[in-house]
Amino acid sequence: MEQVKPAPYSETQRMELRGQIRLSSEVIGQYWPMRTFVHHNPLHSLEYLHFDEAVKRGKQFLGGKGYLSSDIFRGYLKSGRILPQHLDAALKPLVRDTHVVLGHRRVSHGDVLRACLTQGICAPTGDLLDAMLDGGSDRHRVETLAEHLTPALKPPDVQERMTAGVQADRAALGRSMTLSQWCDRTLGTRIVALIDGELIKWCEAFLDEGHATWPMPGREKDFYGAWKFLAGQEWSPCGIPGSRRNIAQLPDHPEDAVLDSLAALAIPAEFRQDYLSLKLAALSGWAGFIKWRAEQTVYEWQQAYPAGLVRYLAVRLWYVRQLVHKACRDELGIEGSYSAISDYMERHPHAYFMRQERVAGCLPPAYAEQVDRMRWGSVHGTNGWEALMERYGKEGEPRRNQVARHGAARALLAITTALDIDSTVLMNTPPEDLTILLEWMEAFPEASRGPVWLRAFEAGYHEPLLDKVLRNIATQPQAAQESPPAMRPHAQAVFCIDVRSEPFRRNLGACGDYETYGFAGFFAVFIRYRAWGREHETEQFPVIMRAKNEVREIPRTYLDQFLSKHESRARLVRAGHTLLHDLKENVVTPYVMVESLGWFYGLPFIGKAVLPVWYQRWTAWLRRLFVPPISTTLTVDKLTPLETEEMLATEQCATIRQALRERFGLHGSGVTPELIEALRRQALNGKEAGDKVTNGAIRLAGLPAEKVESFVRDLQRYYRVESHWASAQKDRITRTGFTLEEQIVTVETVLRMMGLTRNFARLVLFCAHGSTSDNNPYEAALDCGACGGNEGKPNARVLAAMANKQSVRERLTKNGLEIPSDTHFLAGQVDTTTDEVQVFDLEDVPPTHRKDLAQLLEDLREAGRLTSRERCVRLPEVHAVRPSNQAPSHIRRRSTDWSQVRPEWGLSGNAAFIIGRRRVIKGLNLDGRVFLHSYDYREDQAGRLLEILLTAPQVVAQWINMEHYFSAVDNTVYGGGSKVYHNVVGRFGVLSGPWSDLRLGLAWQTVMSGDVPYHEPMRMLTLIEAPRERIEKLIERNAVLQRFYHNEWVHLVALEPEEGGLYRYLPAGEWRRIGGARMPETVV
Amino acid sequence: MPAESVVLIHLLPLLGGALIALLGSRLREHSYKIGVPAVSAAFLLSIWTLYTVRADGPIHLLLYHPQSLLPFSVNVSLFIDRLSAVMMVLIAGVSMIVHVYSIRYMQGERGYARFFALLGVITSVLLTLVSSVNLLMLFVCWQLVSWLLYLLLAYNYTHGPAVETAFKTWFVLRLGDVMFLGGVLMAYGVYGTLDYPALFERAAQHPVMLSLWAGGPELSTATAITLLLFVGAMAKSAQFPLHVWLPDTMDTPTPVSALMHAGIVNAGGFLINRLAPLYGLAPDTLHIAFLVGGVTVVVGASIMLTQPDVKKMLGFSTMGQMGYMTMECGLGAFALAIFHLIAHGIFKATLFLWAGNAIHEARRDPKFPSDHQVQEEGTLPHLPWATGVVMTLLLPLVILLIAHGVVQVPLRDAQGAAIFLFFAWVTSAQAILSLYRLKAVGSWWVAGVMVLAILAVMITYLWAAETFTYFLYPAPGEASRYFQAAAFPLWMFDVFIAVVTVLVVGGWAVVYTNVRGEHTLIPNWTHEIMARLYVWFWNRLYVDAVYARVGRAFTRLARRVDATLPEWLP
Repeated sequence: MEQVKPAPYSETQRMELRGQIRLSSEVIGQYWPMRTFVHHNPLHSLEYLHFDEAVKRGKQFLGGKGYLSSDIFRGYLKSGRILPQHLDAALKPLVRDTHVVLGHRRVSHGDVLRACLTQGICAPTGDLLDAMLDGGSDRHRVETLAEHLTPALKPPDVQERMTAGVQADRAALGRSMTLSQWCDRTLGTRIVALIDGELIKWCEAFLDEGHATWPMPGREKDFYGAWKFLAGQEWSPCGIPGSRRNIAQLPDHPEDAVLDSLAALAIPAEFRQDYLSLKLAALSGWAGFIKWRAEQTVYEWQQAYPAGLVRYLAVRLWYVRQLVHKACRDELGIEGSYSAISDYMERHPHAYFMRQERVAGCLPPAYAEQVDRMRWGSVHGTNGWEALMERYGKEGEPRRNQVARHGAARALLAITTALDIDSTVLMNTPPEDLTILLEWMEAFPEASRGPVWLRAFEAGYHEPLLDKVLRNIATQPQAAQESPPAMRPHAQAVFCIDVRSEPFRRNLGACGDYETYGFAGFFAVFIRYRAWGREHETEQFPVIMRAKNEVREIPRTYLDQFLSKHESRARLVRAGHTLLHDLKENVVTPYVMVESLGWFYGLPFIGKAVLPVWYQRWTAWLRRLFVPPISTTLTVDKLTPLETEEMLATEQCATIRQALRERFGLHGSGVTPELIEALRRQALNGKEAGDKVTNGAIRLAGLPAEKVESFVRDLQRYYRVESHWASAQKDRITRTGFTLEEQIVTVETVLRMMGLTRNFARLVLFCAHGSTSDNNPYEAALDCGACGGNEGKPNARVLAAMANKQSVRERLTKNGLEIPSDTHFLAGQVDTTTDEVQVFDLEDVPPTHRKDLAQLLEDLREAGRLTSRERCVRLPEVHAVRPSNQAPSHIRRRSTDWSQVRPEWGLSGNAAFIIGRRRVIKGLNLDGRVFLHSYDYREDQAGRLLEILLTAPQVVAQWINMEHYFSAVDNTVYGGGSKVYHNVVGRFGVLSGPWSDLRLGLAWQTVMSGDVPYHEPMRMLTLIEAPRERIEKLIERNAVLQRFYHNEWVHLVALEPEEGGLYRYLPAGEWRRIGGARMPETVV
Repeated sequence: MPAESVVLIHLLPLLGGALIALLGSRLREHSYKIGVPAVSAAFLLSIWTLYTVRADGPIHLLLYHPQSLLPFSVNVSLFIDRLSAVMMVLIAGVSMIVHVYSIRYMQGERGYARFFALLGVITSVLLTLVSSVNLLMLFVCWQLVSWLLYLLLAYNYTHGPAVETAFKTWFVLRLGDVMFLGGVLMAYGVYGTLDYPALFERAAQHPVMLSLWAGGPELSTATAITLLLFVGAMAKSAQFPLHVWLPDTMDTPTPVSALMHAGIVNAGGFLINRLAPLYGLAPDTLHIAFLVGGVTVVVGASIMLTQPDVKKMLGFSTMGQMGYMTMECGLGAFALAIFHLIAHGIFKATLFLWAGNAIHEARRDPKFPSDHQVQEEGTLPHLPWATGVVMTLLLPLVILLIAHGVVQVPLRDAQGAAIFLFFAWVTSAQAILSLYRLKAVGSWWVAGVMVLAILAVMITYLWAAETFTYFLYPAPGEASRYFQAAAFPLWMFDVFIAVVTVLVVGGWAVVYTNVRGEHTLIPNWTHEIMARLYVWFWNRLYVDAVYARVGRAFTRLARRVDATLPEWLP
């Protein structure tokens, strides 16, 4: 292909292209690294569309199904999970008021649609293979009926099929079919697979985050540049001739390369965006990760090695253009461009049709052979194709017609059986009427059945749930809500809104006099957190927000003596790990290493497989023995500049003292404070700073001048006593912690938002959550979503520390929120895999609370046992109720078992979100399917807190809900596939097998149990206990809420607090009351 | 227990597999209740067998003797000597762990029963392979493994790529199997027997020479036969250039990978050991094996370094390790190859089964791009050149020589030993360098302990390897005879030593300066070369691409010929 002249594109054109690519990337989701698994909606960018519409787009570009298959839904109908009346209600909008008379029966449109749904009857496809497989005993009946239908049924002949096919394909080319797909379908090439393979290869190499020992060179040039650099040295990638020269001549700007390729492919401007969407959707995982990365300005890997969708497309389109052109030229002798291909279809419809049939494998052997001869042999010419097709049409027509008629007859017979009509009446009905039935069926294909099923399915869950809530409220005495009860509860405990908290809260409530609350697991504490001994920070807040503060975990002050030993031991352990890694990943050393040390792998090999719990205990014991854990605290308070200055100075002095000992052997009285101060100043401010006094001190110590000079240099270089480092440290320290004001606001917001403003117990527990599992790439998905896929431990600790502070409480009292002085706030974390609760900072609990604490800990243990027992029943291979003493050990085994693909069900099953006071759910068993956020509308007259709830926790919950929804309905496209083929790539994602698209979404094991979904995919139902006007006002104000409720991504129901009635919010923006205790009306 | 009960080891997994295959549709998720006990019993029995064989000598169990049904009489029996028993323990052990692991790992997968049935049958075939009594039986099992492997690799047959790679594997293994068959036929043609002892005896007593064409170079039949068989081993053990199937087999469930990398790919090492007396007669084959192994080591390990995902990295690492195993065979250290393949089997199976842990590690210690790395606080290493040389180059050598002396390795006369010394030397040098770079060596006390630890590891390793050699080849002088057979011509040896020394010292200088943060010793043009090399290795030296292209050209040719043939041809 001759080079398209490097056109000088203007900056406007480039900008336009960037905008277009941004729009075209709407169909692909974002992909967060799996280190912090973020549940998200794969169609998030399409939320401005109605749910059903967005699902259609997903189907068009990604090929993903948006609803469960009808087979599964029919199973639900049989089991009673879907009720017939809900199905009817859901079907109602589609039903037309028309009917057909069969014998004595009037068969209405609705009857037919309903039969189609419940019996799985489809319009005939005319597929030859289906017809061949479909024998059946009622052959005779089918044949007679088919005969009867003959006058009315006119299946298209081959000429019509050809014309229709060419027309459809010309319309689809570039919009829903790419040029490479066209080549594959027409010429039998494998261009799409080839390009995908190349792109996977380069994405894998470029996006790697430190797994490969020998990383891709030249990555700092960005994705496009690095590809150009390396692919330009490759030996003929994919057999593209002259690739090296060709790549070398590519423009420097990726935008220009994209524009060049689009020009060469002659993609018309009006559907360029769709075309680019198709290109991005081809590998939606890798493209999704690049999309995410391009938006991260502070992500280290992105800063060092920039990647973006424009660059990605520049590379992809280069391959497309070269390969399509090569294929078209080699076989058809035409340009590989949109216009040439479209032209070819128009001018050579016969050849096109026959080639396609051949590649699709539809031709009988004799014809296939003839097509091959015309493709590669000596036979040529257009006439040949036309004659061949003519002959093919003539010969195949009778058979085809027969198949079509038989199919229609079968469908009609199925309908009569479903409607309980004697099938003989069909023979007496005019065939024209029968075709009407067939048309109805055709107009109701599988694709339009999903929404109907889904609505009925959702109604089947909503109705009993809302019913339960209504009855629950009715039983609560109105008076009890108004005046606070006289007795203080033994303790109050605040859990994450996570659906897994619900059973635990319920069980804790059953263990004693506890009041429990729900609050988003980051407890409104927005922090970047650095754990002790770690060199990285985690972002402990929902990904839709930003951090304000940093918090570090530091050892408690009294441990300083013990610290150096701990550190050196920890360093040794780390050294051992790295040593093993270094020896393993080398060309020469792994062999002797394996021979000498490989044997020791026998310990985990056998231990983990046979006795996982024991092995885990044993290794944990060894680790504790070697590096004992140390007690820590968090840097909650912000230091003043003066305090910072002093602290830093002290640290620097200690460093210098150590350096003096190491370099000169000076210690004891030889090291005067003056000397250290002098050296410190010199190191910090440079040589000129040395005034008389300091020089005097140095002279006094008897150190020669030139040695001092080199020592100061060493101090700066090796010991980091220098001004840049010091100011960087100062910077870091000032970012650390919260000011008093911030602390007060945080504590007040949290307490008011969940309505915990009076009647405080002596102990209040903030309980975050985390998880334990082994060998599980999806472990972060089990952690707290509100903490950005991390454990919520630090957030709970920070909040408890703030709330325990005297100065904070004093100010809160002034604001009208009085916390009794004997109330102590505790921080804890429940492990959702083992149901064990760990409580932190017990050093700070006042001695007066010893008994309370002991009781609380005991009850938490008991609640954990009960929860384990409850969860055991749901686990797939257990299913039976285990005695409560066995359940915990079984649950514990799961968390340590390396072969366990389902350490827990996690958030699967989530279906609703209840925002309200405790009375709404008190005493209810919600099966761990509901997010619960405590909210007291009386504390929030302005609706500000509710607004936060709906735009933050609700969004997180919706992302979780949608991630589960799409992973369950189409695990291949939107989900992660089965774990048994997973292969961790680049330390951030998983592939299926050696080469594949990056797997998005949740693993098959997380949402499915056998062949049926464990997670029932439904859109979330949000139930808010608040006045309707207040909610309406918020919807008016927030675009995100409008998208959710008007486009039906989320169902909304309001519980009118005073009156106790339930109201459903309709997409049109109106409220509709949902019946009393019994609900005659179905909710669709 | 009577010696006959060894047959249970082979039968139990087979019967278990067959039973699951028959009742699979009814057993479903309970299939493991048959498979696991069967293979566990086989494992315990094979341990007992190892003990018995060690104490009482080989077990020879005649199963079936077709008197004169065939033109040649080949009996079907089990022959279990120490080598077989060791391999049986390894195979049954790995298979047992893989079985136990799969109970829960495969839970809910379609074809759960099929999976356990296949696992049982392939375990039985592998066990029979290592206890076969003659070349024919060995060949039949060798075949069956190829077939069963195809079924296991295509386990997820709804997934296109899985079936494709399974076919690729089958095809490459077939190439090896054909050559293997050639070797078997030739052995029978020349020596008139396929039973090992008779075969070895005749081969040793009647050396036959043959030439490929009249007046062409002469070749001893032992060399020809061993070479043909060796090609079979190359295919199974993923030796360059027949390695292409191995790294792409990750579309199979993880436990299959574990079993494959611990129990199947090392068939090559077993083959050479089984036929040790025959290979001992063919120095040329051994030299070729050494060469092939060496190339595989370098290629496999280098490609491994470029892999950004866990499983492909493990795949190429296995390729390198198998190269080393073959190299050991080529040096005459037959027993050491078995020692290696066991250690590697355990090591690699563990890593495969634990492959999902990579994200956990990445969460605990995320990595950052090299220029974004936060500089650790504290002092930088301050080590003068001379001390550096002593510590990282001379010290390991001294340790090694001491260890060598303590264990009294009799390989001292064999030149091959120098090559092991080289590997051990570089390994310990790298170990010390790593520790030093990590600043783990905080004090002299710690440093001393570490040096002692390395010394202890070395001594134990050499001692264990030696003991194992005598365990497998107890006959006096046998082991060293193989060493001598594999000895190089002296000049080749000298060149090798010289090249290696230059490489090590050069490499050390580069690595050392890197650690010190000075890049002066690395000239700029090396970046160019490294990039070029990266492209080569990242594309797997284009071996796959060349094969694919040859295949395509062939198809194209066939298509054109087919299309231009006259129509009246059938």
